[in-house]
Parts: sequence; structure tokens; C-alpha cells
Amino acid sequence: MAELLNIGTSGLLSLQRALATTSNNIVNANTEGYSRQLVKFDALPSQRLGPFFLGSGVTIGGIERAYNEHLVAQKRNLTASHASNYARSDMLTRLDNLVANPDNSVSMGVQRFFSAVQALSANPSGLPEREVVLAEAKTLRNQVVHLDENLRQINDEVNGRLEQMTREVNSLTTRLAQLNNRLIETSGFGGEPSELMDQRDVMLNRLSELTSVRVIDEGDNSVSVLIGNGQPLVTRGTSFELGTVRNEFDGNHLDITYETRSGVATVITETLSGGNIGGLLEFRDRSLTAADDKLGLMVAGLSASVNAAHQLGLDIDGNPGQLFFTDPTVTVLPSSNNGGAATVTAAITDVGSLEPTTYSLRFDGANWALTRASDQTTQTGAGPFVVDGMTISVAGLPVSGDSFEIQPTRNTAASFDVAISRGADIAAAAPVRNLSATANAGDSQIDGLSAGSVTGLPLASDIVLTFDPDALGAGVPGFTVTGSTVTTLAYDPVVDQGKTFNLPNEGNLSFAVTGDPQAGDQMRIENNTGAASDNRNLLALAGLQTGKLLQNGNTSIQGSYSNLIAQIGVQTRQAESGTETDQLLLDDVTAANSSVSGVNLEEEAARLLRYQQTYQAAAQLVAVADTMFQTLLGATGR
Amino acid sequence: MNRISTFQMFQQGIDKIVDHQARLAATDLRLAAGKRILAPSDDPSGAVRIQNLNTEIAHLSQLSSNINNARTRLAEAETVLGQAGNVMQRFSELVVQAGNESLGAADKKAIGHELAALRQQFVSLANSQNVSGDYLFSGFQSNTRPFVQSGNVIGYNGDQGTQQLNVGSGIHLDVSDDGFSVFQDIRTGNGEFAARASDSNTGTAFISATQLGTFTPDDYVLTFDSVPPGSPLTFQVEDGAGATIATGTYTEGDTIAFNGVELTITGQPVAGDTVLVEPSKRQDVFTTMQRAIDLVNGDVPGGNASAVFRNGMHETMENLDLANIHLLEKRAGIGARMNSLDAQQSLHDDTLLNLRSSLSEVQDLDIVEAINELNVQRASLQAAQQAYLQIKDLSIFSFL
Repeated sequence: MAELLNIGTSGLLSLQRALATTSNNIVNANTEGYSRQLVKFDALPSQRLGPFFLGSGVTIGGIERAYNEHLVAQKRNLTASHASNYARSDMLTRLDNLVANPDNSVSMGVQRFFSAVQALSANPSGLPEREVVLAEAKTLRNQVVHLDENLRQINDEVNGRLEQMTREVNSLTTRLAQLNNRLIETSGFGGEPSELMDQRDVMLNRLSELTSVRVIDEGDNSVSVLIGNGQPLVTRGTSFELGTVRNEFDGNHLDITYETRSGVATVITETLSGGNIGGLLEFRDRSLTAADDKLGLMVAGLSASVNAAHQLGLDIDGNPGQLFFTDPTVTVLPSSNNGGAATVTAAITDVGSLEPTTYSLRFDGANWALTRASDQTTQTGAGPFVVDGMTISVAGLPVSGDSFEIQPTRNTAASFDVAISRGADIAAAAPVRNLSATANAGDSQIDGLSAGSVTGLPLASDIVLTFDPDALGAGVPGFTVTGSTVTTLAYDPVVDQGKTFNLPNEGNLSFAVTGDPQAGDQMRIENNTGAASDNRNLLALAGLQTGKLLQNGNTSIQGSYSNLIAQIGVQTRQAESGTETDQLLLDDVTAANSSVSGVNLEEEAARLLRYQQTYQAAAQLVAVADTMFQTLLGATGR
Repeated sequence: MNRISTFQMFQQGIDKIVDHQARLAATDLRLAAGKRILAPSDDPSGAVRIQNLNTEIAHLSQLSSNINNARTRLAEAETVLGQAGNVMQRFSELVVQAGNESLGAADKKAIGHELAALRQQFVSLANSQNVSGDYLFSGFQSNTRPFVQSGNVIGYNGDQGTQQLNVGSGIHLDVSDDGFSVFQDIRTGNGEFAARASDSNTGTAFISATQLGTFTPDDYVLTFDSVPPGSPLTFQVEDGAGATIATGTYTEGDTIAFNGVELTITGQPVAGDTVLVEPSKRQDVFTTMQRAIDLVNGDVPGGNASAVFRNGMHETMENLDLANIHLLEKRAGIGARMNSLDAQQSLHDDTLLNLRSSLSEVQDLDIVEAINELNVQRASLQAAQQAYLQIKDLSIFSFL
């Protein structure tokens, strides 16, 4: 009878707890990270009753947390990978949309500029046509600068987000350390503080969204969190701070630092991967800077080649052409850690060999080592270095460890501008002209006269070619050249029709000679004047559009912009499909995880009903015990 | 046991709906733009192709516009040279008329006036300007009047520059002809050499020359002589160095040949008369015309029948013929260039058509396919929404 009461009571007490647990599961069905809890009933030990053992009721053996640590860890890793791809594709989509509109593209701007040059070539003295060329050049400049400003804004946003995310990391790690402390306190009592551990998993997941972390179970309910190359972010109750600092070379870029307990901050940017931070860094270092470098290369190619051709011409007033665009320059950035007094200068020698990458120059105490970032090829020596169309010179006294970063084209777009101000300044005419003397007995003429350099121009005096059948000795015909240069040029009308000649010191003039000159026939090359309808220099300028002028003759100006678009398109696509794949995997592991830990209301309802019925039955036991007691009282009390 | 959490179940339903919505929106955006590629990431290689095709189309369109400009320029010059040809024609006819031996002095004077007027007209044509005021025949010096008269001589103030336009990839076509090459670079005689009787001749020899094989350029002098006086007239030809290269006895109407030259001499030369054979020189058309006018207006002893007049007229006619041929050649050259423009244009048109159809292939959306896709996506979205509504009411709790 007393046993019955005890058994019934043990059941009521246990079931109350079970009902409470189920209710807790039900109300937490929507709680993020909540792991459902399962009540484990244990039968109370039997009592020996002579030869028998008699059961004595039920008790709660434990409340277990439905949990699979492998799934949780897997989810964390996938979260980091997904967040990385997501952040990357998010930023890349911005670039993607930036270059999406073909009508507004820089390539079309280049096209319109060259079309305007072509249109001017039909009427070289036309001032309206000249103004159109100037206007198209300015439109192109605006397009380039607009694109560049957008790239810079995106970089600023990356910086802002990196700062905010490191703050988030710090806030999370602080709270994780606090949680660790509370968990360690509870570890002495046995069992698991389920909600605290769920909360910690949620935070670790948040942290993984920011960057990849490694989580180590310390065995006392606390965990340690490692980042990058194994720097501890959290160990038990202690957390370490991340910070941001300007890149030692390029102040526009933020680096992530790790602060040890002694307060020393080390840059760990390169060791970080995964999460939003990893994605942003990858975006910046692989996509954004590459876009800037490629845009800069196009601009450098355009401005340098247009300038070179333009300076060979004569403007409407007959003056030598000036710079049409600002000339591209190379950016050299010293490390903020440099201790020596060395200075480095870099000059473009051949824009056609420039590469859209960066170079690092480091002094090891004896020699300088120049390393190209794109493929890590290195050359060492005392300098100057000749590499990819640049000459890099070193001056001053360095100390060991001093380093510089050289960015050939990263800032070219930002400083791109139209240098001439009036349509009349456009150099349409060629610097020299040729004529055959009217009195010539024979027929000979100069074709395709063109200048290749400004050196020696304008000519000090007219260059006169006089035919002499014995110019180079008896029976060896040719031209004796007089004027600003004196020489002889072999020309035999029988075999040398169309022979090309070159006068290297006189504007590097080149020309071909055809026809049958007679002795004494003269041809003259003179400075061009009053040539209002001379469009030869415009034709040379227009020809630059189709020339493969960049990357060692592999790419045209517009082709290099196409490369930029292709790069952005491909990278965006990769990041998007990476995000999608990660999302699918993450969905799978989330589903698997929630199938272990998540609350299913149907299940809980069934459990609720079951416990309720058992509870009723147990209550009935107490009632039966009472009835039995009353019966006994009634039987004995009379 | 395959259990699923309630939260997850609802979340999955919502996720599906959101996913379908996003796909539907993307298709809708494509349909609205009518384009297959909205951003490079939709199809990176396609995006680059679009870029390149657009560039090529714009470039070819510019070349076509250059062709139109070139055609205008060539047509202007062609028209002027056509008119100049007509003037030359009339001029030559009048010169022939003036050579008639029976013509009276008054008639010759009238012809002389008309010839002078024609020459003036010819000079104006050579100084033609286009609508923007640029001189057509001054080379690059299009602001400078090319042919200016001083005394009886017309000088050329232009240069020998030829403007070109880019009419095809790598093809530059001449769209102007400078005044020197059109009006001045004209040979005298037959183009290789010119033969003329010396002005100091006292006989009546009339010279005509033809070419026989290759002419060896040199200044040749044929001198008539009669030694001793009264004996039959002989001739000897000396080259520039004074070496005798041909001798013979003069018979009227016989041909005398040496070094590629064949001279036919009629009339009666006297001892000491000379005939000069020189390599052909350049003589501008205006000078040739002026020579004709001077001859017609001039008062030559013996009138039209004199040997001086006849030789002069013969020489001038020959020069006028060459000038005429030269102008015709120039016109033919312009015509040939206009033809090549037409060929180039039709090449561009074909290429443009191909490029545009390629562009459309890469860039334009297949509307039918897209609408089909839209319908499929809409159906999927509706299905997902319905499924969501169906499961949301499924719960034991509703039965408790």
C-alpha cells in the first residue's frame, strides 16, 4: 500500500518533469540553435522481498540533449565556406553590375573617341570635328574615372566591413569567454547545461560566418577557439582581440591584426580564410585590385600610345603636338616599417610590356630582391632592375628588411585626364612633308614618309635627296643626302623599287622611294607648314585602336578592357556557384542536424499525450492507494 | 527514423518559395530587357563577345562613314576634272582651227580671245573650293589658293600632299589629288622626248618625231650642213657629249633614226639649221595653253604657212594631247578609287550584317523559350505556395 503510494508518487514526480521538458521543447520549437531534450526514465531499484524483488517506482535517469557534435562541426565549416563565397559574390555582383551596361562601357567610350578621330580625319581643319574629339576624350575620361571611383568606393566599403566584422569577432569572443567561465563553473555538478551549450554553438556559428575557426573541446565543458595559423582567440575564460591597421604599403587597404596578451599586434591578414572576412579579403586581393590593375593597364596603354603619336604631329597652328592625355606613371609605395633612407623610383620604358600586377622590392642586407606578385618570380641584385616595361632604380642607404611595393597600373585610372584644352591643339598634321622637284627629268617619289620620334624635329634644314648614278662609287647608284643630315643612300632603280630608308637622328624618319630618277633629280623632305588638310597624324592615331599594343603584342586597348570584363564575369560566376553549392551542402547538414536536434511538434504532442496519460494513470495509483487505505480504515475502524 | 523538425519543415517551405520567386524575377527581368545576358556573370565569354561585336560594329560603321566622306570628296574632284576636260577639249579644237593656213588675221584674233577666256576658266577650275571653302587641288594647303598668276606664269602655291582616309581595316585610300600631280606633272613631247626645230632656223624644215624602241635620254642636236656650199644637204646627229651618232644625206620625207628616236623632216632646211631632241620635261598645262595663245595671237613672218608657226603648233598640239591624256588618267584614277570604295562598302555591309546577326544570337533572348521558362517557374512557385499552405495546417495540436 505504501509501496503503491510511493510508486505512484515517483511516477507523478517523474512525469511532471517529463511534461515540463516536453513543454520546454514545444515552446522552444522556434528558438535558434535549441537542441531538443529527451527525458530518460529509470526504474527505481527493486526491493528484496523474501525470494522476490519488487519494483519501487520510476525516477528521471537524465535529461539528454539531442546532439551530434560532428554535424555541428560540419555545419560550422560549411557556414564559414558559404559566408566566404557569399560575401565574395555579393561584392563581385556589384562589380559585375558596374561593367554590365555595354552602352556605357569604357570600351564603347574608347570606340567613340577613335570614331571621332576618324571623323576628324575627313576634315582635319574642322573646328567642330576637333571639339567632338575633345568632348569624346573627356567623356571617356569621365567614364574611366567614374568606374575607378566606384572601385575605390567598393574598397572603402570593404574596409568599413572589415572594421565592423573584427568588432563583431571581438564581441563574440568576449561573450564566448564569459560563457566558457559559466560552463566551467557548472562542470563540477555533472550533467550538461543544455541551453548554455546551445547558446555557445550559436555563437560559434556566428563566428564562423565571420571567419573560419577551429574549435577544441577542453573537456571541462569549455572550448578553445583558434584562428588563422592557430592563434587562440578564446581559451577558457580569456579572449584575444582582433584589430585593423593600414597596410604597410598601401594605406587604402586595411590589414587584420591579432593582439597578444602583451598588447603586441601582428598582421595575420594572409592567414585568414573563410567567413565574411575571408571572402572580403579574397575579393579585395583577387578581384578588386586585379580590376584596378587591368583598368589601369588599358588606360596606360591608351594614354601612352596616343601621347606618343600625338606628340609627333603638328597642331592647327603648326606647333608640335603636346601630351593629349596625362602620361601614365608608376606608383612606388615604401613600407611604413622602413628604417633606412633608400628611395625607389620606377619609370615606364615600354607601355607595351607592362603587366597588370604588383612587385615587391625587399632589401636583405646585401641585395635587393624584386618579386612579381602574379607568379612570384624573383630577380636579385643591386638595381636598377629592368622588368616588364619598367626601369626600377634604387638610391640612398637601405637597412636590412626595408621593402617597397611597386604598382605599375593600379592608380593610372585615377589620374587619367585629358591634357589638351582646345580642339585646335589636336595634332592632325604630320611634322614633315616631301616633294619632288618640278625640274626633275626622271620620275621618282617618296612614299609613306613618317616620323618615329620627336628627336631631331623640327628639321634644322631641309633634307635634299639628289640622285647620282655613282653616289656610292662608280656604277653604284644612290642618293646623296644634304641638309640637316649628310649621308648617302643606296638606291638602284632596277632592283630597289619601293626600298625603305630610315634617318634615325632626324625624327627617326622612314620612307620608301619608288620610280626612275635621273642624275641630278631632287626630292626634298621639309618641315610641314600650313597643312590645313593634312590628316596623316590622325590616321596614325586612329590606327592605334586596332593595334595589339599591350602585353607584349597580345592585346589591343579595348581587348584589355574585355579581359577585365571576362575576369569579373568569371569570378562572379564562380563565387555565385560556390555560394549555391555551399548553400545546398549547408541545407543538407542543417537538415541532418535539425533532424537530430530540432523539435518536431507532432512528436512532442504525442509525447505530451503519452506522459499525460501515464500521469493520469499514476494519479490513479495514488487514488487506488487511498481507496485501499480507506478500505483498510473502514475494515479496522468499526 | 527520419524525423524532421517543425521549424525546419516550415523553413524549407519558405525557402523554396523565396527561391522560386528569385528565379521568376530573374527571368522576368531578362524578358523585360529582351536580353539573354544582363551582367557579365550571366555568361562571361558571351559578355566579352558582345563587347567585341559591338566594338567591331561601331568600327565598321565608322569606316562606312569614312567611305561616304571619301566618295563625296572624290566626286567633287571628279566633277571639276570633268569640266576641266571639257574646257581642254574646246581649247584643243580652237587651236586646231587656228592652225588652218587659210585663216584670216581677224578670225585668229577672235580665236585668241576665246582661248584666253578658256584658259581663265581652266585656272578657276584648278582653284575650285568645296562647300567648306577648302581648295581641292592645293595638297595639304587647303586654305591656300593653289594657282596664282603672276605675269604670264601661273605658280603653284600648294604642296604635294595627298589626303587619305581609312576605308577598311588597314586600307587607306587617297581622297585628294594635289595640284602639282594634276596640272603640273605633265610631260612634254611624247612623254619620253621632245623634238623641236631651233627658233633661229632660217629654212622651212617641219619636224615630227615618233619613238622607235627605247629612248636613251640625252640632249641630241641634229645639224644640217652643206660642205662645200651648194653640194647636197647632209645632216649629223651629236649626243650631249658631242659624239656623232648618226650622219646622212638629207632627203625630204625620209626618216632619221637614232637611239630610239625617229625623226621625219619635211620642207627645205638650210645649212646651219638645227633640230633639238631632248628628254621630255615637265610643263604645266597653263604654260602649254599660254604657248598656244601666244602662237595664235603672235605675228609670225609668213603667217600660218611659216615653218616657225607650223612647228610651234605641232609641238603645242602634242603637249595639249598629253595634258588631255593626263587629265583623263587622273579622272580614271578617281573613278577606279570610287569603284574600290563601292566594293569596300559592300564588303562592310556584308560583314555588318554577319556581325549584327552574331550579336543578336549572343545577346538577344529567345522569347519563346523564356516565356516557357517563365511559365514553368510560375507553376513551380504556385506549387510550392500550395504545398506550404497544405502542410501548415497539419498538426496533431489542431485535433487536441
